[in-house]
Amino acid sequence: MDRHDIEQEVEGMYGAFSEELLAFASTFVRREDCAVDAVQEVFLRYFVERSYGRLIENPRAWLYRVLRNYLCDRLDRAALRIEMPGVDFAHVPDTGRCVETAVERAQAAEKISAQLSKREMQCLRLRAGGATYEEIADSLGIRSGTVSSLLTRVHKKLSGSGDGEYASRRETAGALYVLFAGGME
Amino acid sequence: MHPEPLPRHPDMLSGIRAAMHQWDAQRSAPEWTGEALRSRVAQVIEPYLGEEGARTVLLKVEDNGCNLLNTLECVLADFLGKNAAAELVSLVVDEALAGRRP
Repeated sequence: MDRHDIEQEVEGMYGAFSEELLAFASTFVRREDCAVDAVQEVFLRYFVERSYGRLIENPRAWLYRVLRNYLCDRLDRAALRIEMPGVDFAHVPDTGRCVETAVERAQAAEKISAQLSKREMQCLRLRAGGATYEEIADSLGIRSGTVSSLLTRVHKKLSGSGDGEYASRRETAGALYVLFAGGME
Repeated sequence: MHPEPLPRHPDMLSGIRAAMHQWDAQRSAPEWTGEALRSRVAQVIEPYLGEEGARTVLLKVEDNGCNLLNTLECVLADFLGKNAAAELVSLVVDEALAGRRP
């Protein structure tokens, strides 16, 4: 495989996965330019490793894993606070039919992001993006049994088994839309 | 697969392309090929394979390094298992390739 083929491969990966990787990176770093830098670094690393002949069986899982490691390293080096970044609710797009709906969704999203741990949020984001348990486990460097436990815990929190706060599935779905579809605006 | 670049971050893809071209242009320098490349990689894997083992494995590597990581990963997997081999190959990338960009 020559350089041109590898470049084409990288661009294909970019087209397929860059948006979800950016969303994933945004769960680590608050600033969007940092997330963009991280995703660029990961694609460059993909290019470098492929250029040196590495076979990557599951590119999507590989990209997530390398992105996560890169962001953790960067956070450690910079001694930044590792926290679950909130969504900038002042800029949440009005995806509902009325302002009240959008506000309710934003408030629910805020409550959800406050209730879930960073790890739970990462699992949920990957799962919402269509990743399998094995892909999530591979991406986050944990066992698929742990993924199952984390998502079960998320489900309990979101289904309101505790205080009944998210009893409405429609409200929850709207909040998740705000978190994952509107969070990068 | 969707080959179209995303409209939301149009500069990101051009940045990646530029970085790939820059990398490619510089890595053909003598210090990034042949014995210099093998020597750099050997420093990383010798603690795991020994001096002779590392030298033997790297003999199979092309001068331009195009089969470097695959060769390493296959051999290391036999000794260390698949997961540990993958970790060590990533370490090679960090220490000998990506960590010291051309």
